[in-house]
Amino acid sequence: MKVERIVPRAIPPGKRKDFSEVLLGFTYSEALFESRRCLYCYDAPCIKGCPAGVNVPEFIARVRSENIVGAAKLIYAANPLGSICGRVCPTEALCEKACTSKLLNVPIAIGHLQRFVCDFSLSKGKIIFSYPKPDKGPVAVVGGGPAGLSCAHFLRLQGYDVTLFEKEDALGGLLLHGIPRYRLPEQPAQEEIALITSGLKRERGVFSREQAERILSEFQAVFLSPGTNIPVKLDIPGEEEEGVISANDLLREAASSKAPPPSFEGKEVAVIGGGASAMDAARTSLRLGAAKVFLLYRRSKEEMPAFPSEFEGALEEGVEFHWLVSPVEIRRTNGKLELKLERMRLGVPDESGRRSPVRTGRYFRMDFDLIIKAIAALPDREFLKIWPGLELDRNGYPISKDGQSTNPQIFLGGDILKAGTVVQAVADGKTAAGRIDNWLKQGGAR
Amino acid sequence: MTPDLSVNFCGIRFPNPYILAAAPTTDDGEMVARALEAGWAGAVLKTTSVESEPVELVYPQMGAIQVNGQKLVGMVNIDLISKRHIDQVEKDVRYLKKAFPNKVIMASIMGSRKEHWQELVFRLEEAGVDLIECSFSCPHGMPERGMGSTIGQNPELTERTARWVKEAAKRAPVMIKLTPNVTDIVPIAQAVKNSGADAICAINTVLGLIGVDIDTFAPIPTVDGMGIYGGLSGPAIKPIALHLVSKIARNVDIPVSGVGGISTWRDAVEFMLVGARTVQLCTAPMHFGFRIIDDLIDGLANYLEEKGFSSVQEIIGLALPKLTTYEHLSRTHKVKSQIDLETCIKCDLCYISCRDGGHQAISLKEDRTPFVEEEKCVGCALCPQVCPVGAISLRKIS
Repeated sequence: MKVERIVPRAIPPGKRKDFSEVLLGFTYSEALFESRRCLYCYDAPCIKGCPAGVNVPEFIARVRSENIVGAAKLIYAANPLGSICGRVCPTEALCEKACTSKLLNVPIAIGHLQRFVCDFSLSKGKIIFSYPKPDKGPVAVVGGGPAGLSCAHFLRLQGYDVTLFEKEDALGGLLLHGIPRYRLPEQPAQEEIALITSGLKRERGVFSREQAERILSEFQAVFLSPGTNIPVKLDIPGEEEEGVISANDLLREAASSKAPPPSFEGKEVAVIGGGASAMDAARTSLRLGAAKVFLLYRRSKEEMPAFPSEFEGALEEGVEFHWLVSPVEIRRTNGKLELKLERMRLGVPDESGRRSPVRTGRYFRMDFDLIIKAIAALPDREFLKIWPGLELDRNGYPISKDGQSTNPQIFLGGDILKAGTVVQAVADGKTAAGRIDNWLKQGGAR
Repeated sequence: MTPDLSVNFCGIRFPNPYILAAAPTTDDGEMVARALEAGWAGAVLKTTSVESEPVELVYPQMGAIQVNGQKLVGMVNIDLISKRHIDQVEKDVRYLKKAFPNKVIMASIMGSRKEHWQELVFRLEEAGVDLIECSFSCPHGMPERGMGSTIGQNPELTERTARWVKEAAKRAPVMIKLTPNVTDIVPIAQAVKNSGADAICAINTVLGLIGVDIDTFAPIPTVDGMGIYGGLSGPAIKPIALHLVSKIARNVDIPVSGVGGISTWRDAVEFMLVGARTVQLCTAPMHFGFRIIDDLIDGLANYLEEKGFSSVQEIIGLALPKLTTYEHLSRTHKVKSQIDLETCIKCDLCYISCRDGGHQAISLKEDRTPFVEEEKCVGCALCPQVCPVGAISLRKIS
């Protein structure tokens, strides 16, 4: 699982005591050096590897010629969250996976180059989006995470009158309260969000059928990107015990600038799950002072949905991984949470293509101070039900055809469409902006 | 059997063909001593002059071009001859000859009139110099005073000045260093031969403007806001030097010491194949230090051994019979590009270069695999130049 790639200087694992950004990014000369390795492929596969379609070889050519702001403009034309994605994209599974240089030695560090280019240009104040005076729409965007922000941005670029509905004060969704600061510091995130939301009309969140109906009558189209924020339950006895929390809540609390972060000083913590938020929760727990963090996953390392870079980060920071264990019961005894676990083995692949966990009937127990559930998050059915004509599948996801819901006036994007990454959310928003434009040009709901 | 790397040049035995050219690397006896200890066969001490010749240097002196991160692909200097006059250089010669009796100690000289040239020769011979090189070729600064390349650009001046030197030299062979900044080097080389001088060193630096500062609009290197044309050296001038060395070797019967853009043993082999008997280096040791001599020697020895030569002298001039004129090149020889798909990494640079710089003879399959359309390929050999992995070769068509 060890991925061979160029990684810029980082805070050494032993010194990551707070939420400072771990990867320090390229310096100017390091970026130039790395840019020179790029082969400048024709019809480069990395472009197709990027959900947002960033023209990678062209932007790197501009780095080589030290036309850094030109490079940034190319990136921002495809992805208005370039600096953010340069940091949080699982590039090893996207552009860098497709990189031709991989066949020579290691792929070009595309993500880090993108981050450098965007940060450099932002710091020079060279990135400004100018939106034309709106003469189309209006269109409503519901949900101010990356998908919604992207859709609003691209709609406004096309001259649409857009109103964003978001229940939180701050925009950005998971960018600000889901991704830990050591991966995405607040500053570049806030800066890019501010750039694409300047002059954007805002309203509060949508909670009732009446509000939803009013929006559908007042706006020609709706882009719905509420995210998936209902943590999946373990569905085992003792789940409601004090000290059993969800990764969502932990990450939100740790990232909040309003209240001091919780302290896990001296605590032994179990994180249950194997995805991105499990890795984030484990590494966050360590930074909150946890004495020991165990990650418990019911399949093995190979089946973990977490990307290699996330797994490696957790591993090098000292998270202890226990594979093929599944929680059965939680009991509070002597001030500790006693977790009963069943050993699993790998069976045949399930519909996800990964080998499935199979029960063995062998059990053991471990004591913890805190147990963090990070198995998955699902859409908020109650919220989705307020939208007329929106049909859901059995897991509660809206049924979609090319990003359009069963109510043709409502378009979808982000985690509600199983985006999974920020860059896919951005791509969803961009694609939807194009589809909304097409649909409205063809007459829309009339 | 280990091949013999020694060469005979003007009756002098060089332990190997590698000489440090007259340059900053040879402007100090202790520096040269270190180089000779490292394995260099000899050195031409930086060009000196009589004590009355003013040498006022300016700084900075260097500028360079880098290509995609490769530094010093070409370097320009606006340095002059040495600030150290003959009184100091003759001391260096004495010291080095004593310390390194088996190495070749040469000195480069420049004068503004006959008496100066001859005084320099006299004093160097007294000091025990093995060979005297004369700079008729410095392209910047000195020509403004009627010296340097002013002489080497004129066959009459070349012959006359070379005669003065040759006349004065009783023992040491005389080698004339020529400038590439001429329309035709052959009459100049012939003038050297006519003068009775013993050898030619070619080439000195190529007159150039290495760059302009796009912020200040000043030429590079910039001396207090102003600049001049300088002398270009480094890998960028190797093709120019190979051309001129081969041209002299084909047209004038005189030993040639080749110089200009040599950085590796491969470059040295090429210079010897076109007729150079020894080779001189300057920019490469200025960049990487005297230590490069290890690979220069080892690579050359391995090459000779692999090719079955017992002495490096056997390769001198082997390429010369293969140089011809356009008229004599074969019209029936046909080649076509072929792509080795095992090696190809599908960057498709061959496709784009052939499309926009060739004959649209490379197409792409759905999975971006390039293939040559035989009927369109003329065999121009652009694509093998751009392929980063060497997957493209030329196949002879019978």
